[in-house]
Amino acid sequence: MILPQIQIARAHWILGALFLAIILDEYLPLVARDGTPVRSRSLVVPWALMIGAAGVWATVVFADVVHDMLIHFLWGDILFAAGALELARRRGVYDRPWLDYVLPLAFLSCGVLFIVHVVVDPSGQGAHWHLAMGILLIAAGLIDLARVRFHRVSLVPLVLLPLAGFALALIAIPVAAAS
Amino acid sequence: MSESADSAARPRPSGRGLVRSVASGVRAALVESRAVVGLLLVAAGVGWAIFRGLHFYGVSPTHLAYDFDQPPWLLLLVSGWLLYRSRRP
Repeated sequence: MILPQIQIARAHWILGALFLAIILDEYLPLVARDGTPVRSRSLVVPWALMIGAAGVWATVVFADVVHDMLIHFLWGDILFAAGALELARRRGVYDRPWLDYVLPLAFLSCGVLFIVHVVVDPSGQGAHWHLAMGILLIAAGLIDLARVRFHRVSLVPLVLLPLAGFALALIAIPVAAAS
Repeated sequence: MSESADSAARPRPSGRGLVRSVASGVRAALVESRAVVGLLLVAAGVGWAIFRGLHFYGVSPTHLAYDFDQPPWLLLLVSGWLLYRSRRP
């Protein structure tokens, strides 16, 4: 089943907006009543990751080439695993120190999948954009890994820059493609 | 005590104190960053709607989903969520 371009654009707009909401809620500081910044631990973030995973899995059904199916299937798996682990931690069901690495590793591996997508199909539609988005996600994963590893505390984490760039690209590029 | 002696006793602002006060001002602005980013997204959504235009599909449930599934509306929805989440916990 091949979807028309506008339907593909719609799916990307929703995923991009969902991702933008996730990263802004996760990384922008909240201010407690005593005025100190605190980290958001909203349950919406893991649920949004898992809903995004379901959306990405749907692409496996609608994709018309094998490598699109495979990449989106793995992408959905990563998002679902990250969402499930974050949900377990935020509910207090399962808490381990290594869970701090879940989100950075999810960004990093999704970025690698973008690069693999370009390597498998270098002449495909939007290959340059896929490459740029992969690099943005890999940069975000590495920056966030460094933040977690070295316990860097900042009011607005640097990782927001590549992540916001990725989310806005996800929203904006299908606009150009659908025009 | 004379006026000149009084002004000599008053501590003069040092360069370090100025830097510290600027840093605390920046810090105060950053902790309100959710509201700032939310308002930026509102501006981006409005600008996008003016630049690219918005399509109106209809008011049935399916068409409403199409109406709101456009980048300007999605940016406004994200900004609404962010402004809602900027309340103090």
